[in-house]
Amino acid sequence: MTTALRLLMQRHGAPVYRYCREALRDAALADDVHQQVFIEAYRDLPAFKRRSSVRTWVFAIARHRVLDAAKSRRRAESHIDRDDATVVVDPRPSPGDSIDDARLHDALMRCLDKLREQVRTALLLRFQQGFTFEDMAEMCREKPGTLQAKVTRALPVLRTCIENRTGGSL
Amino acid sequence: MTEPLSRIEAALARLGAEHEPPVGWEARVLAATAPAPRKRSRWWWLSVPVGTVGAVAGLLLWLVPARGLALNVAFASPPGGAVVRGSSPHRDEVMQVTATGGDRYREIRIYVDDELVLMCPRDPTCHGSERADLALSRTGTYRVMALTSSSPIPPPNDPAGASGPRTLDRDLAQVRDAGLTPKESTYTVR
Repeated sequence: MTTALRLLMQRHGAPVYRYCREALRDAALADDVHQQVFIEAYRDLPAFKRRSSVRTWVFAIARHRVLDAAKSRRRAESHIDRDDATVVVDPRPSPGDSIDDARLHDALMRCLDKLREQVRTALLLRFQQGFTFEDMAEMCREKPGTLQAKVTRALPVLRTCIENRTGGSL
Repeated sequence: MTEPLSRIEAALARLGAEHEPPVGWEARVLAATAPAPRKRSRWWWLSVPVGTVGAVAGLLLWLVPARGLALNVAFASPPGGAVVRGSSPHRDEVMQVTATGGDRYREIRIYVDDELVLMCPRDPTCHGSERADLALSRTGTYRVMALTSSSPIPPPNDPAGASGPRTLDRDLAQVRDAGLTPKESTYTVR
């Protein structure tokens, strides 16, 4: 069992961590959730039925733990007034200027924050981790078509948000 | 020119590429999944008196008879003999005595009108100390006695200086003097 866990951590440790970091945008929370994912995987390994790939199974656990952590954080933060004045405003280029990759990256992260957690995790699973909609359907217990529609609708929303935030065009 | 949405997809794919899991995370997961060492209970000392009591109980169970002595007497018609109705035994029937339970040593004695006629397991017709079959060859009062003891049961004998014939009452007194409590049954055979 320990050998299986070591192998699991070796193969999936880094991608799961990157997913947790970007989905939660909180290093400390991501560290906790990341470890929790593998502890849970170790616990559930004997019950793993191999109906999906190991990678899909591990990410399904990660997705659940990320959503749980985000929910708990949201509940805790509901009592705290968020100070939007601390948000750093991007220096705006002239209208029509193309947005460079660094500015796109910054704006993308801020715009992802504005999306619902379910949509954000779907975008990360699809593009950051490269899962197919069928794999995602397995993890999310939703139809592949529903997930595809969710992702397809989210992309133009992100584009608008990025362009508004940077003042440039993609 | 790259499609705007493709740029977003590519940017999403690069997200978090600079992040690596924290140093030592694997060790922490392994530590969290390692079976916890068995802690000695704060009540460990209770096992000493509990163990002692258990040992004493086991010893007592070994020493004390598992169950009390049981005496059972039945009467059977001899093969081919006439069936006689009625609740009391009749001559020519066979008395079947069974003694079970009790201690290590067991004995069955059958007296007819005060005369000792069968003593098991000493008599060769006995089935050990558990079973005695006696043909009721004469009428009279039959008294069946079963004894048990953790040590060998002394045979009935006439004490030195005793006068008169040996009787059941004298044997009984001898048995009681030896600290034994017999089980008895009496039958009148007609």
